[in-house]
Amino acid sequence: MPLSELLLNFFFYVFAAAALGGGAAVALSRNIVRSAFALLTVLFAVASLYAFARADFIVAAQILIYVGGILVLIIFAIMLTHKITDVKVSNESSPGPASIVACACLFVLLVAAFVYGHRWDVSPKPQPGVFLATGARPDVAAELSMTQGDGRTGISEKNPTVLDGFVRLQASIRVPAAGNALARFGVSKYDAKEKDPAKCWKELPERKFSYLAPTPQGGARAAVDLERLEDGPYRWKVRLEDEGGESPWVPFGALGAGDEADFVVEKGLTRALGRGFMGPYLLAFETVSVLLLAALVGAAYLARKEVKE
Amino acid sequence: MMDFVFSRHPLENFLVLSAALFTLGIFTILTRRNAVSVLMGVELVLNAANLNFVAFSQYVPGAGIHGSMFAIFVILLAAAEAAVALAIIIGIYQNFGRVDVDQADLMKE
Amino acid sequence: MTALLADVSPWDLLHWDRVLTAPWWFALLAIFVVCFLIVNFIAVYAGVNTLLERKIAAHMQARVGPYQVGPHGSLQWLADALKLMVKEDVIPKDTDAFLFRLAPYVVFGGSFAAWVALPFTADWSPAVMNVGILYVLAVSSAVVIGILMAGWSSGSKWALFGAMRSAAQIVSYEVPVGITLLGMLLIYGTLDMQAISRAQETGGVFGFAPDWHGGIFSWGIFRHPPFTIFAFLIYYTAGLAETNRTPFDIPEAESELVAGYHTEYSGMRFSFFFLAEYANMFVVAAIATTFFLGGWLPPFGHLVGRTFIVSPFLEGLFWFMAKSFSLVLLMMWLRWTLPRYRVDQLMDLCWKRLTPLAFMTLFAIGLGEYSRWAGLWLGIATGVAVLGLIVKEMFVPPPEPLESVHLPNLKAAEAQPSGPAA
Repeated sequence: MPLSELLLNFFFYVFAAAALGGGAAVALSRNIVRSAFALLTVLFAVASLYAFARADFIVAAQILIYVGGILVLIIFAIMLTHKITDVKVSNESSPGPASIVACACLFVLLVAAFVYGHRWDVSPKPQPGVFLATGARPDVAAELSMTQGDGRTGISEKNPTVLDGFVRLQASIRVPAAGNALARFGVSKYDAKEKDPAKCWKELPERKFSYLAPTPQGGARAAVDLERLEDGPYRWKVRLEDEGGESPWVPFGALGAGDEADFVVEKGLTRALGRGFMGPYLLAFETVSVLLLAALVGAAYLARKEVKE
Repeated sequence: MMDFVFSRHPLENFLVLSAALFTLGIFTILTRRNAVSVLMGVELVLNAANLNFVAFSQYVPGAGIHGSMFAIFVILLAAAEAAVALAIIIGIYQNFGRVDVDQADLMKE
Repeated sequence: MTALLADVSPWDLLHWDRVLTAPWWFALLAIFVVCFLIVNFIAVYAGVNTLLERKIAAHMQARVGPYQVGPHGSLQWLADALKLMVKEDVIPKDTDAFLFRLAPYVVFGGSFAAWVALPFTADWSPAVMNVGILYVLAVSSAVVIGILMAGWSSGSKWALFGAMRSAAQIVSYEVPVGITLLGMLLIYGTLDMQAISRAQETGGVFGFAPDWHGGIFSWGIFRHPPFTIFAFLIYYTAGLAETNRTPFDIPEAESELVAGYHTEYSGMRFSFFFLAEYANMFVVAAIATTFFLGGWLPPFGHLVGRTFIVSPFLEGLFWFMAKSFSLVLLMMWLRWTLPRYRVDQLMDLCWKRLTPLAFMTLFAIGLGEYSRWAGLWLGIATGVAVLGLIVKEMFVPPPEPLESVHLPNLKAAEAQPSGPAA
């Protein structure tokens, strides 16, 4: 089993267990300082889980703000609001049966909400109705689709960003493939530095191909994995090659020399978040900065020592 | 290395975990008597919600970055709220000598 | 076994993308080898650093320092390490034992984790991350929690005060650090430290000819002079305070708080704090090297037509280490030169002086990035103003004190006998 399956599965459960263990210590420990340091564990574990969701900027922001800011504030507040001698048993809690039952019901409700509720469709949206016609098979209807690197999550039309450099391109036909038919994929990348707009889309030198393999439904499918792509917009096209010759190149989506891309590789969330902050979320961003200023001034005022006249 | 981390877990793993963290946070808020502990419970709740947002942002392709943007805003607002809440708690300590939420009931009739 | 290893070679241990498709045990082996190398390097480096510090301090103070163990005392660090390892492990009675034991590891973990993102050489660092510098800043802030944990669980009020002062100091000085680095990030446009080092290869002189190999003049510190120079100085000063080095070492000053947050620690646990402090010093120096001094680039490599002569890996490593070690040497030099700041002077310096200056450099670098000519004129004006200030301080004598300054009349008080002894 390759590493990406086994080790990452294992580490997800390690971090999930750390988060739950830390949460339990926050909820149940009698020593408030131990609770605070258990919160450290929870924050680090949740940050690691963000990494599993490929949100790299948020990992760093979480540790920087939560651990480096909020947790330090909490620990300072603990030390400023307790006498040293009674910290060890200071964190009394009153866990009556009502709270335990309420929380259990809440958990069951939350889990049931997505188990029995809406199913999110993450499958790839295929581009149907293209024709890969060769000399041997003059009329072959095909479906082209592209998924992100894990092979399961499709790339959406509205938001064709791929967060890492791994894309799987797939062509499937509904009739059985003949003999040694293979599908060849050509990928081209947009070069922003190119002055001539007609030549912006530069084709990558390696044209990957894959033999058509039969599918259980009676058709055939070929898929290639593109690995370690650089950042930028991409287009792709495919053609069928068999004994009867080659089909013409069929592009996935956009045609012509415009800027439309089939998928965009952008490693890391930082640029996308930056575009968001300066775009749709600009008002929220400015409001939050005013709010932070108000919180800063208010907290400094509230926590000052009263000068007794 | 982040480039090569495939998320081969189903979305449900993230959702169950965030539901559990959320429940633990609510339990902390409900049962603890120390005001700072209640604040720690609030942080647990916010983290659980953030995890949910980010998981959806990653797994549902049409979501784009909106989930992650929301998570960033939640982190920012948690910082602002923690600062003000802790200032209030310190003020309560200076006035009452203890931060027990059950005993800070002067405004109750 | 050879069939399994047919398409992986020992060099693959250094490249994560090849490791990920290898069998899982090879990946674990790779992780352990890289971590082992880094931890050992940190340990040996910190050990030698203790010796170097004592030797440098000694020679600056006209004495010789450690001289007994090894030629000219060069094995003193081994003796110190052995002594710390065999010392009795004392855990005082009134401590929270679990947190007391955990704290050194949290502090060391925070310092050690930052090493994996540093760009040691051309196109290789132990972990290449898109958010390199943000990650380094983030895990460095985990050190604060470890310090608070250590101070709290020691059960003594000196340790607690030292820990709280240290935590307040580190958290305050993260602000100028972040803002100056933010200004430099405006120039580079990426958070990836390897890309930042690479971007300083071609920038022309003072950034004016973007495709030209300017050598030392394309380095970050010369991109928007004098603001990037100010940014470097502010970053270096704030970095000194982050690592609790003199003149900002009030939390661990012997004359003030015994030894601050690590008062109650002895033996191997104490050595972890030491290792963490030296590791942190190197990280601060390494970030300064990456952002301001060109990372692993040689200063005049372009003169021979290409940047690296023989081997990019080894030469890049040499230049990176040389620059970082020079900055560490400067830190040690400052320790034995400057007197210590009082804690209120320290906070005043951070919030009232370094932070506004950092904001001004951010603004000026932003203006320079937006319009190069506006930045140039602002730079010239600021440079002239700063030079004028320096000249004035050096050559214009201070004004005479006024007559009406109120001084206590000591002579009169001395002449009259006062108090019960009269």
